[in-house]
Amino acid sequence: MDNDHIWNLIAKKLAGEASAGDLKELESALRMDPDLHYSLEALHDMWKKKSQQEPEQSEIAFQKHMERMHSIGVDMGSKEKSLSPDVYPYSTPRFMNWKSLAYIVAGFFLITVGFYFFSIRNALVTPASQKPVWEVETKNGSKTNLVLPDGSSVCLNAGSRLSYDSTYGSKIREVTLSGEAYFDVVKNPGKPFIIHAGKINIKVLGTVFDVKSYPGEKTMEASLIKGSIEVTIPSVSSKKIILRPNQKLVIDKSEPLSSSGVNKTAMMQMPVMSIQHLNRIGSDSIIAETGWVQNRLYFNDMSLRELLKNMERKYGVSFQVNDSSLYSIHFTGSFKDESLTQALDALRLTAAMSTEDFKYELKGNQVFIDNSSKGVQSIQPK
Amino acid sequence: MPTIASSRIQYLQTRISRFDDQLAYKELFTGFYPSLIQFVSGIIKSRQSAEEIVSDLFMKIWEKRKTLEEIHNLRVYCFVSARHLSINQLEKQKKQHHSDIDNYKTRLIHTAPNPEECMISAEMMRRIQEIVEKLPPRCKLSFKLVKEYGFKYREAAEILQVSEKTVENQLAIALRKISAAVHFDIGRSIPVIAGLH
Repeated sequence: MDNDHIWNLIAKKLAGEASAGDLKELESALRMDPDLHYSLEALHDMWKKKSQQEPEQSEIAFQKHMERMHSIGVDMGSKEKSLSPDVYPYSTPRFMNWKSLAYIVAGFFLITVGFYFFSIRNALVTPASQKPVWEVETKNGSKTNLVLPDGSSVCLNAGSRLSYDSTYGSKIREVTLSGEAYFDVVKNPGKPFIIHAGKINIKVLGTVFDVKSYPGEKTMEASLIKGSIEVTIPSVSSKKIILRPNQKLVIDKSEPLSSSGVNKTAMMQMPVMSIQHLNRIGSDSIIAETGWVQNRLYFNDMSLRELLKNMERKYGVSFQVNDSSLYSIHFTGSFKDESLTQALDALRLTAAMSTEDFKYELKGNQVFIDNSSKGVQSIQPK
Repeated sequence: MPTIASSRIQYLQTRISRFDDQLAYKELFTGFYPSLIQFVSGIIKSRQSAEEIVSDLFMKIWEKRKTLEEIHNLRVYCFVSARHLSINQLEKQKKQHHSDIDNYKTRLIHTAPNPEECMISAEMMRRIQEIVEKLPPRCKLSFKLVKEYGFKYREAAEILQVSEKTVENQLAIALRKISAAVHFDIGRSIPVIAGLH
């Protein structure tokens, strides 16, 4: 092979543009001329050396730039727009196939194209730390996607909040979560990904998982799809619980999560928790726990009380039930893209079949569920 | 240079485009600034002019933010834009009509390499910097775009308005020259032909 060509191959290899064939050629050239090894290694070394960056320079340059923009009179728009002008309900039909979400390799990027309503507060510069804080918050009835600085992506469920600050990615990648989120974390063994969810810390060793920790609920869950995660409760013990794919950890929050109380044994201090298998549904093996990412709500023998709570999040409404005995009716099924009324009709039909009929009425954001005409066995449509 | 993840860039685009998010705008600016300023400084001599060009570029980005989301590869777009603005500036200054970058003397801003334990001593790195600086413009820029800013051949070609094959060849030339000058030679007595385009 002539000399010119070899340099093309070397260049391609260093630049990451070499095909399998190129690499093979290079290999055989290396065999024929062992001196090449030294050159190649030295060049590789040189290639790897990145010139230093001075972050202060960029900061200063940005200040100058902003001053320039102001002096020229550029319209800076609304400084802290907290609401999107386009508001779409949660149950708008999907625009993209999420099905492969659970099986995607690290680094998959979820794009939101404005189909979801979300309220964002950002640039919260606290006087004490002077560090900008990113905070993303979703109301009931909406969910959103975001991409963290390292490219990790998060799908945030309704009624949730995720925050991180500018130190994200410097030594560790740290976020704080309240509510539920589906994470796809970029692999970086040198920089652990850590989630603070209430009193629980989750250290991510793997890639795809779901964390559910709503303030008002009795339990919190961490479901692992791919990779591995490590759960700790720092205030209680230094023990770590490591999950494997297809497992979920359910922690009962009603037990005290602190180690107060001198006479308590170690066993009593640890909250009640269990490791369970993820609920897979149907021949497609769809995972129930992460169905929400695809706008699905799966319920298996779920009480109406719990189901209504889930529906409150999904649809952004609140329920009033006249007779609390209704709460203990159990339902099994799933909702995909049904509207609120379609879902309620389905529930109503099911309930009627076991003579637990009820009526519902929609008033703005409130749904009133009433069974006061109970006792009438046959329901005549009006 | 460390670069922002491309998915993060697209997220920032969305934030700027739809919400006038200034924090996202700042992150974009500070993320792109080091490589852009270095790139432009390689074409334009004056540092101040270079800073103004980068500032103009970002001003345009802000002014056209409503359609910012639509840009598929923002990094390439910025470099293409930067080159365009730089050449315009040069044309204004020198009143020439050539747009071929080879006609202008380029100069690479000397930045200190990271001291790391490896085969290459600081002395060698300094020499390599000198050699790179003496490379013909197109060769030097191809080298910088791929090695320093991490662009693919295809992207560098788009930025420089040349073919991918040209970028490939220019890079090969750069490497050969570097290797020869610091005695990484391959083979025994292969002559290095200087000034080869």
